[in-house]
Amino acid sequence: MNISIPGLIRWAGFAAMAAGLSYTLVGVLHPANEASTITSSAWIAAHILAMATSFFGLFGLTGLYARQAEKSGWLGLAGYLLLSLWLALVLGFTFVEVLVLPTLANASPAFVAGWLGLFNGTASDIDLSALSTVWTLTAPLYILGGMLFGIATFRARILSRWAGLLLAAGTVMGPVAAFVPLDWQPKAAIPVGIALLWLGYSLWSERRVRASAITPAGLTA
Amino acid sequence: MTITSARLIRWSGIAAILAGLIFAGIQPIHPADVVASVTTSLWAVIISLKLAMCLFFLVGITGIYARQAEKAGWLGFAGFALLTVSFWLQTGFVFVELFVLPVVATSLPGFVESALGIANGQPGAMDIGAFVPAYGVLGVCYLLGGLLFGIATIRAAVLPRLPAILLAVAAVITPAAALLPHALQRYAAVPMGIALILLGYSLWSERRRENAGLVTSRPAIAATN
Repeated sequence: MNISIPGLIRWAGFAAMAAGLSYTLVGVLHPANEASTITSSAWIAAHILAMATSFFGLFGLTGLYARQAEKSGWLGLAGYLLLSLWLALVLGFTFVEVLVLPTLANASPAFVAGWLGLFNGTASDIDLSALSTVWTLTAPLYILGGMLFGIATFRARILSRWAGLLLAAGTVMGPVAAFVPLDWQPKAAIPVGIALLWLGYSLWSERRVRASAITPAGLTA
Repeated sequence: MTITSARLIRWSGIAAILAGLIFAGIQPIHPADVVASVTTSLWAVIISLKLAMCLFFLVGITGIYARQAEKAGWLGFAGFALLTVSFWLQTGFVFVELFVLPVVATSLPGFVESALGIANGQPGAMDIGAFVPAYGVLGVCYLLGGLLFGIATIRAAVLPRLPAILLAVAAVITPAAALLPHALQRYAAVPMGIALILLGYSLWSERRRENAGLVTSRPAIAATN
């Protein structure tokens, strides 16, 4: 089988589905951000899944964007870049949670408490101000990126428009999580995960229309 | 200005150039990988640049790959995927170097020593778990990915050969650099940086194809449908 650009873009749909599925599961499995949960298997599983979301998400989003780059215009490009940057920063945080935090759980409970304080708002003795700034930055990246990419997808009329709307609505609703109890907060990931899964499926399943709908201009790549 | 795939690929050339400039440029001024370095402001500046380099690399290599995807075949795809995994993991390690190591340098110097030890080849006393094998995966992906991607780029003959050869060679000599003193090992990154700058520049400078590409890429696409 030869490699073609439309083929690569379709495979990226599969990556987007994997990202959506793992992010949905993050929402389902992630326990509350409390010191007592970080050695639980659910906590570790949720963060390995979050790493998978970042990995597959970067490929998947690139494919979702590439498929509609010309139709989605500047709005689409802005959404794609913001959301990709969010995925890269998410990797940083989950990388620490999977590979560093379990090691430090015994060695430095103060660091672990400070780390969790980034997410659950409790104060700590460790100065994590730089990290706290980065974590604050992830919110506008997620909200704006998801909203712009979702709206651009809706307007481009190439992939499922409803999935685009769900992505926009799901990410915009993200901040609502701050007002619900700790163990409910991760559930905010579920609609966004489903939207990604849906968009990925929409990209993966459109093989029949490839010949007619993809214009040569869309494939200068 | 409307967005076209050809323009996006050209712009990604800028990302590759920036990644290459940082990758090659920081090596002479990179602070020593020791506990005392991580709280200095030079560390904060250099490691922030490294974080930016990882992100530019991911964008740049995607463009370099997209430009020659059909000609580069499975070899090119494998090289691209491995290099992406390598720099995706690198992003995580750099994130730890930038945001975690300075914070725990005073309270947990043993952890910092062990974490830096995976790069400088002098393992610390503290067991830091999966951190070490993850770095091994990164290294293998970098070596194999660079080699395959370089060979695929040479064979595809879409982009200039010289930087492609440089890329393959730079990836392969990296483990050999382990035989050198650590201060010199860093310079193994310089040819890789130069290769990225040259490949990025060739993407950026081929603006004529923005029009011509419409025609040339057509048969390949038609053949797959």
